[in-house]
Amino acid sequence: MMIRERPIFLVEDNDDDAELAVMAFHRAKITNPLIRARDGVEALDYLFGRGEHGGRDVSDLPAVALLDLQLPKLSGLEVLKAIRADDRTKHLPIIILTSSNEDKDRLSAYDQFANSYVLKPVDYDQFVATVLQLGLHWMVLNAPPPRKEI
Amino acid sequence: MVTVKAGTTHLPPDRVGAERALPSTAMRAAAYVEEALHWLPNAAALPDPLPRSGEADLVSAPRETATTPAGRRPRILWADDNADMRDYVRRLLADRYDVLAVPDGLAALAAARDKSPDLVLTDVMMPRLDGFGLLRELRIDARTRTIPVILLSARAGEESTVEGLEAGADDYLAKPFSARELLARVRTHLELARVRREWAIELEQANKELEAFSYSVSHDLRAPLRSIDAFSKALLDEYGEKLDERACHYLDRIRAGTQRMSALINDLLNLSRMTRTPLRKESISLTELARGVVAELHTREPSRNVAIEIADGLSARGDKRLITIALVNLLGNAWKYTAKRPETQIAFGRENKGNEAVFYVRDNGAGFDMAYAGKLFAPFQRLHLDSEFEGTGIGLATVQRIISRHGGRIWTEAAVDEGATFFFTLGDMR
Repeated sequence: MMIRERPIFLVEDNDDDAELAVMAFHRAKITNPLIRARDGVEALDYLFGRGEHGGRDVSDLPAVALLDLQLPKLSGLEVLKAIRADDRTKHLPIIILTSSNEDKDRLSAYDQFANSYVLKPVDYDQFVATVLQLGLHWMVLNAPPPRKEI
Repeated sequence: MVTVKAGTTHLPPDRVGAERALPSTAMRAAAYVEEALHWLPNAAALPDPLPRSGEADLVSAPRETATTPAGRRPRILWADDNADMRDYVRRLLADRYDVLAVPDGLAALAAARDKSPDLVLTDVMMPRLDGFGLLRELRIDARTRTIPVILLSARAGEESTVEGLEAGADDYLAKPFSARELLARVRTHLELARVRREWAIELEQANKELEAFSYSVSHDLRAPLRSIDAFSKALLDEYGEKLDERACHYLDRIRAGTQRMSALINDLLNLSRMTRTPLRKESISLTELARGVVAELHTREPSRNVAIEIADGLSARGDKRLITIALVNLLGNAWKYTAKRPETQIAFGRENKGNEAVFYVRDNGAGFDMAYAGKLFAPFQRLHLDSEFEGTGIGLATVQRIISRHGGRIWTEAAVDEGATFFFTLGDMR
């Protein structure tokens, strides 16, 4: 059976971190296509089919979204809130991928129903290991919500 | 003919309700008259000293005292079982303050909790709960702890004054007192309380800024480190064959540097977190906590030859999470600095000095020169080279902060190559 690989949605403003994530996915042999948004507004434009993504089939959800907390324009938490508030996107699995280990951030992420909260390790080997674990869990183990027919 | 209009509608808005630049002298005169009137029989012709809130400004003299933050008149709670005295002082204060007069300490306590007065003025000898008892209760409760308290008593003399102040009163006034003195002291303590409030607000502001700073450090300083580490690693992995040994060595050094910087950032953040998180004290077993820490150390280095002695029944009141961090650091240090001994000896126990429990962690490790003991607890100060014993120099600074937040002290005794002992108390008198 051929399974069309759903994309991974990466919301990350830092170009280095984005490139490292791509390298890590590559090393972890995760072959899903990667779609990247650079700020909170772009992220929501993609998911809701607005702006430069106008007309996109919104029901075509990514397999998972990796969401940074510190983002220009709209913060990660605001993006998370908007995703959860919209019927079309509210089931999208969202992993907060951040450098912040502050209790306050962890609490507000879970308050807004993040599926997971993962710390970006500074050490690259650990970063690759983390991405590998995430890939295994979310692309292989985890059964995603059923696709919505619109 | 001159027409004087009534009301305020014809006046420009900025002239209505504007405060007078100079205080009227009428008020002071009124106080003297009142003081004299008090001694006349049937002096009930005076205006009601407790005006209802909406009318307060209409019946009171112009303000001389600084108002409270909300712009309202300061509220004074006044407790005395003697009805004459209660009435007299109430009238003295009513010109400038809203006064709530009550006949005993229990009523005062209830009112203090309920009405949050700006100052409490209380007689010492009262039924049900006396002035000292009231003071003690006010100081225990977080809601009333910062309210200035002035004790009024018939007991004159230095000894009573000292007794009152030692009980935690802000001021002590012996009867008979002059009306002017009472007013001056009330005004002073209200002003001091206002300044303290302002300081507290400034401090809170500074703390918030510090928090924002740590937050930004945790995010922004880590990202470039990750880039440096990762791209160095990518170079090694993908181009390692084309690089000679020396080039690879340089890249390894770059990576080691980023790891160290990352550890420093983490430690710095943890240290600042120690100060920010609220303290939750409970009864804890230090013996149990220490055993857990040591078990963890054993698991990490099972091959070490160690003799560890943890005394039974060590307990204290403290924040379990923070005390655990302190023990992880102290026992972890003992573990680390004994690594080069053929046999490691570590002891955790208690000595009783007077009525204070003194805990200690003793080891037979590398020790240090007591001449440098003063530097030991400052952040990032190390007495050993990284190549001898690795570390960031934040552990003991963290321990000291935890101990001092518990109201305890920490000190040390050591000698080079003869081991070290760290003593600490947890502010727990028994």
